[in-house]
Amino acid sequence: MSSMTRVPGWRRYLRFFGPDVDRDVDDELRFHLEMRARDYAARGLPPDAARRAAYERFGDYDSVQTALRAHDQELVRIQQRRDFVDDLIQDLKCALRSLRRAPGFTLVAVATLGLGVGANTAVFSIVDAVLLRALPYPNPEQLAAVAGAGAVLAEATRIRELSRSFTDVATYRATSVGLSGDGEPERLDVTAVSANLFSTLGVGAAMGRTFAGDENVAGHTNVVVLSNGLWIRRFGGDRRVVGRNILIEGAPFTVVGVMPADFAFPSRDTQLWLPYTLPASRSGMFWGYGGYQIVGRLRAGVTAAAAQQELRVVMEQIRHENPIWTPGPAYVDQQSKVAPLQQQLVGTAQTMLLLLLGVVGVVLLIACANVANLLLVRATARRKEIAVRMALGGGRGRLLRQLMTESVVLAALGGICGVALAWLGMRAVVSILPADIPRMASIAIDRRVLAFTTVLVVLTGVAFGLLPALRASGENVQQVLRDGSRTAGGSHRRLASLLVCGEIAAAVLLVTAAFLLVRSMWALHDVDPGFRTASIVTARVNPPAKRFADPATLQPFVDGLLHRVSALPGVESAAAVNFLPMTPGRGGLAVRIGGQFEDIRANLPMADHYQIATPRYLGTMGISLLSGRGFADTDVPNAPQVVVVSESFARHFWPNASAIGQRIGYPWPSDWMTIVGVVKDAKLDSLTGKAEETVYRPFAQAPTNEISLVVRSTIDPLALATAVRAAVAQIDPGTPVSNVELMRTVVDRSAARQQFTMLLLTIFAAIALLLGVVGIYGVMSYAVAQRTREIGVRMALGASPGDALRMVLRDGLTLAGAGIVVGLVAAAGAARAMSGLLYGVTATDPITFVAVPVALGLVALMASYLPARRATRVDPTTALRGD
Amino acid sequence: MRPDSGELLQGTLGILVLKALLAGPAHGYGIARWVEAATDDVLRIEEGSLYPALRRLEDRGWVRSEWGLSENNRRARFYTISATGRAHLRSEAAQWIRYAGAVTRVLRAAPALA
Repeated sequence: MSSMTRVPGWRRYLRFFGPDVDRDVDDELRFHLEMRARDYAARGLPPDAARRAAYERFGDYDSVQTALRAHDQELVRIQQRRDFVDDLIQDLKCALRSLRRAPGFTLVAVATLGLGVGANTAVFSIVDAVLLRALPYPNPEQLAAVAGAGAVLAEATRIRELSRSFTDVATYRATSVGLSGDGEPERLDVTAVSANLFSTLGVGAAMGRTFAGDENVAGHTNVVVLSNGLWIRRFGGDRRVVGRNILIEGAPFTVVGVMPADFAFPSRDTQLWLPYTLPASRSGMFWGYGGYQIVGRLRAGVTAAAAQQELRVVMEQIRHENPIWTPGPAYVDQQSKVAPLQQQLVGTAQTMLLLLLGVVGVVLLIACANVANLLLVRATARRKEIAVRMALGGGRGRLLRQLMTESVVLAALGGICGVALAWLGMRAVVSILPADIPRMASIAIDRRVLAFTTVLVVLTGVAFGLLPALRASGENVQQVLRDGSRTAGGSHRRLASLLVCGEIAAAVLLVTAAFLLVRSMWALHDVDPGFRTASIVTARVNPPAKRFADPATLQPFVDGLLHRVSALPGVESAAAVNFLPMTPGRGGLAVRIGGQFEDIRANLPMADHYQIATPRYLGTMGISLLSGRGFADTDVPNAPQVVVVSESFARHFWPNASAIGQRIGYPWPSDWMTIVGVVKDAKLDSLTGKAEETVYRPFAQAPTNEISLVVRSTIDPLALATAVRAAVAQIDPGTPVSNVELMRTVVDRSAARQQFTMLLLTIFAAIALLLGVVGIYGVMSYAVAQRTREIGVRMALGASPGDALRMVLRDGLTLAGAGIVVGLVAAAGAARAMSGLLYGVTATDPITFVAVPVALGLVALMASYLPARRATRVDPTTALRGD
Repeated sequence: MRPDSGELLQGTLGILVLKALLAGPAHGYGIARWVEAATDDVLRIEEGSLYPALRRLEDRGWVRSEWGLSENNRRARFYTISATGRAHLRSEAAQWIRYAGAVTRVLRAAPALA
């Protein structure tokens, strides 16, 4: 032991009495008693009396014995701990020293692990925030989403009344309102809620109060609760805001409370909450108010499955109460779905995130394989050192522990590097994260993520270190020392080859997946949405409902606005529509079809989209007319009611006849409307969606204050935005203008998720490929170095340098080929699993499945070429003399 | 404990043990015998308390212990005083002698005890 001087003297014997503390204590005390008894006996006492006297003289034998045993056991424990720590420190020092001696190896290994751990840390922090962390409400597991696709208000009300599975059921609906007064009017994403929403979630206001039981009923004072974000941004965090009036849609609302900063329901987008209002006279009869989400708090002990069972019975009763139509069993099924709220909020983001998590997992495996390979090579170079150590009496276990310490230290360095990388990369990743990913704000590299990374690092260290360490410590010492040669057995190379094979397979898997996504994105770019996206600027303009409830005021507003905007220099045409393509908020419409579905109470067919547009909308958007006419300025309220329908709508209902002149109607008692034109289909939902059946109505006959401007112009969008704001302000200063952006941007956003997945996957695939190449290069270089003697012999026997080159290349390609085959099989499986993310390519896309292996084969060839060239330069005489 | 046995002041046992070990390594019983002989059995120690005292001294590094063979060839634990133990004994002893001297002077001062 090197540090003899530091060690207290008692440690020397502790080792050999250590294991039997109790016996030693007994020996010492009994020796004392016997000696004393012998002395008494020598003075003439009979043996029995002598023993008794000795005991008496000793005092309380039992308690002394107990105290000494406890004392000595504690000493042993302290010693064991100290030994462990001492050994650990020694191992750590040793590991650091040995890593410092091999800076090249250390650098490559740490960088490799850093990439792997960094990617995992970054992706895990997203997965943790979005998928894993419990919702920030009391007993979040009791919260359930009911009828995920949305329900009509009457259903929600009846479910609350009839279902016994929930302690409370609340309803909410995302919408948007204009906020005006004190500064620039603006459009806010808000949530209209039932008054009991907050109590159902179990969250109170940070300031003021939430809603009271009767605040959904009309005639009550209008009230709102602000989000913390809006309170800070718009009201400067002024505590006196509670009790103040603000103007929403032009009407006064009293602020009754401000929510805590971490409250974001149903998402961060929500700026404020307000109770939806129900006319008092008709409460309980809201069969026409659709699109409501239901959240329930399950009674303690009731599972979501049990609640669903019960809800099915309840819905069976509710469906017969529906005065508008009688839903079928499929509808009952859909409306009685009960799922954990978390699942509902996360939605489809789960697939994408789990895919990414799987991908970074594979990257880490590749990194591990690479480092394991490096360690194998290194272990070969260190065989002598290790053999000497074992010959000097270091046990195998001790050596194994030392080698593993080295791996874990390496992994820890990689981990530190990785966390740093993740920390740097996170901002970039979050900034390109699609906006529809829920709970994004809580993404951070926090204690949970660091704990995950720590576990990952230790596992990584063990994963890549164990095999090489077992091998290195398991060798026959005498043979290594006698043999003196530095060539390791073929088994090292076999293991290394296996690792590289696995690496290449994993790289093929990732590159294939990335390639499929890239091809999907290309396909998406070529998709014709059926409307013009170039040089169109859009803006939302929402005249407050309070002041513009009357069509008589709304129509002049829109006319005046379009007139002014059209007159701006550079503007070719301007129009208005209720909802832009590929934005949320649009909805379908149940329609009566003249001669086919006329009964309002029947199960009416749905049009996918209901668009309200001014006359020049179709022209501005380039939605071309196929037959009949578009809207005209003559389609005024008192003129005959008209509609324009899309091609697929016309084909659906009148497959063999012209749709022009046919009649359709709203799903409530109203006049029939005549189809005057048929236009080409446009993709209004997403680029990947099907051609949608759409019904267009002229704005003049169906006015709404949901207005989006579309302006075709040649001027700079920013200048246009300023001009549009000015035009609106001149007509009505209280009307907010928002979301001024290019149509192209709106469309791109609809594909943001695919884009994000593709981008990240491509980055990870590139990393995988790079690591794979390094792996092949490393193993081939190593193989050539090892076989120098063999190659020398062959060349001495007459083989040409060309033969040597071919031999090495053949080995390299065999290795790569095996990896590629395995990788392709795995990739085929993965492609099927991710087919939901693909568009325009099949999961078995032949181009991908040919291009990727060929490309990887070439890369493998190049990685083998350099070492192969080295083989050709082997000089037989040097090679044979070597070592 | 017998009524006439000398009550040992707290910490005094340690000094006696260290003093006993000055002569050379000894096992516990040897120390007990030495104390007995040196004090003419006036400071009669309860022998059981000797061992915890030895552990305390050992924990402080004033004595070391080692297993060896006794005079009658039995396995016994031998204690040795360390350098710091000697130093400690010196300072403690000096203090004790000063203290005892002071008490003695007081007791001998006039008026004489009966």
